Amino acid sequence: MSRRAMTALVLALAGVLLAGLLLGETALSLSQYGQALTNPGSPPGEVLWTIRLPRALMAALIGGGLGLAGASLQGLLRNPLADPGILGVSAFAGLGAALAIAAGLSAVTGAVEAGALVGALASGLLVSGLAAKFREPEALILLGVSLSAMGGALTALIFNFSPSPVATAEVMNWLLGSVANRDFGDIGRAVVPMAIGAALCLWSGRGLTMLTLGEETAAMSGLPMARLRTAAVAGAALMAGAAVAAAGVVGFVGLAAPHLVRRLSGDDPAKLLIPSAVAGAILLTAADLLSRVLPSEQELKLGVVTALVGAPVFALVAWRAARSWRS
Amino acid sequence: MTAVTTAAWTLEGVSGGPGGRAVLDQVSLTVRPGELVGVVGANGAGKTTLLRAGLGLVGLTAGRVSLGGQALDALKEAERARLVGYLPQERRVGWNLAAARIVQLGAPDLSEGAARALAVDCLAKVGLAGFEGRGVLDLSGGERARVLLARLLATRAPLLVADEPTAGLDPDAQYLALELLTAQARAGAAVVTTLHDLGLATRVCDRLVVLKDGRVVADGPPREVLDGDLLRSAFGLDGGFVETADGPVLVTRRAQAR
Repeated sequence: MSRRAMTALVLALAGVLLAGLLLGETALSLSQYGQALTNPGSPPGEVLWTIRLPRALMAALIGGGLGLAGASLQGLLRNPLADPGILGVSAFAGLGAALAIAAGLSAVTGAVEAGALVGALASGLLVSGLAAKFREPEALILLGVSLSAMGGALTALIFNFSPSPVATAEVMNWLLGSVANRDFGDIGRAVVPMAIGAALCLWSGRGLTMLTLGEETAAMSGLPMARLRTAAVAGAALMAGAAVAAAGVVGFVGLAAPHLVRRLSGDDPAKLLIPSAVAGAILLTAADLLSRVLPSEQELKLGVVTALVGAPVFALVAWRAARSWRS
Repeated sequence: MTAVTTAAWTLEGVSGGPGGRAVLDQVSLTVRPGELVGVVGANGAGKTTLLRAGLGLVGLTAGRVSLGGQALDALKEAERARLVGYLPQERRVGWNLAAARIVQLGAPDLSEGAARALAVDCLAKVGLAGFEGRGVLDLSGGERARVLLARLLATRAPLLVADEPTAGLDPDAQYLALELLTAQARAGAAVVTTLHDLGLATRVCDRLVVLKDGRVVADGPPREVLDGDLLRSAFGLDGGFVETADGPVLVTRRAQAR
């Protein structure tokens, strides 16, 4: 990606973060913005620095992680329709959270998040093992789809047998995804797994580019492909799991972000990773902003907004892919 | 350990196949530096499996493979990559990378600038000068095959293994591809390639190894190897060499009684 394009992406991210800080449900006057800047402890300061800023930063962090995870998996599986959801990581993270809520642990600080992370890690470990065993991307995709279906079915089973409609509503609400009411402590807890996952995905980049030429050429390239492949899956699972733990299930960002910057990156899977993270951060921060400023009685859930925007993107990508298969 | 500068490739009594299937049966073969060896045989004879087994891409149930005098499985991944350039039969490319970038992937040991210069040179050799910035998925199948051949040349490896390098190429490009592989052999590389065009194989290869049902049924200079009996038993063809002003030419036709 050219330096100019990367600069434009970073500026766009700065722009949406600034908008996330300045815009929201509570309209502030110019003098109140001035008060927030000069006196962070004032009521407008509280709105800007303890409500909006961590929320916007959390959206950027989650979006960045999902964008990077999506780019990593698309490169690994050589499939433009891959995203963290396809490997079942999101479904199992959701299952972990649903189990925690059904077990009545939602009042325990961090229990639901921990449940989601454990679910994500369990499926991530399973998928990493499968990635080491099966080299063919198609096999991994099919196994991931079955894992995803299994995670969804078990979550539905919890709904089915849940004695409390309150707990069911709570699980549903959580699964819809949101970054509302997050503080810097939540960000701190999400940053660590995100950073480890990002490091793993970035390290696997050169292997992803080599995989462009197929498994056998990559295997003969001298790169430690088994380790790079495992790193890509584990990194993506860790980031997707951390994302679900922090914000519930937010779909389509991992799918859409890489497509927004693919051409600018010369279609090179390694060069696509960082721009996809920035694009994901922009997308989710903008989606969260949209969910806040759209006039509605109840705030739109983040997962709903991304799905409403992402589903047509998915359809468009599939349409283009189908056309290329036909030709 | 002394670095290997040439790479004779030796398979001794190799048996095995993908998923533990018995495709190869006690195959032995040596390819020495400076020679171009053609592996020929009917569909399903085991040509691709032979190449893959010799590169460690297929598990062996018996036998051993050595490269430059060292056991293949004792070589580290990076050392094996330095010694072997491989062009698989599978030509599918996952993403629309620029042609030059694809070729550069054959030379990860070089700096960006040096790899780029090498890529430009290799693309020119395969007749694709000026194609450096073209997306590889925007090219025709034959052009894409040439880009992948250029990547093989960019490896500069002492052993070059090419699985059907002429597949999908027009007649002129087929000659060009084999001339390039011959030039690599004459420059000291050990080169082995699978081919289906027996006429072309007899013209360019120093030696032919003929496979049938996973076994080597002949190994030697083309004129000595491809006699009437072998053509009939291994390929189901009648024919033989005809002397022409251009040298001996192999003429074949489908065997009458099959």
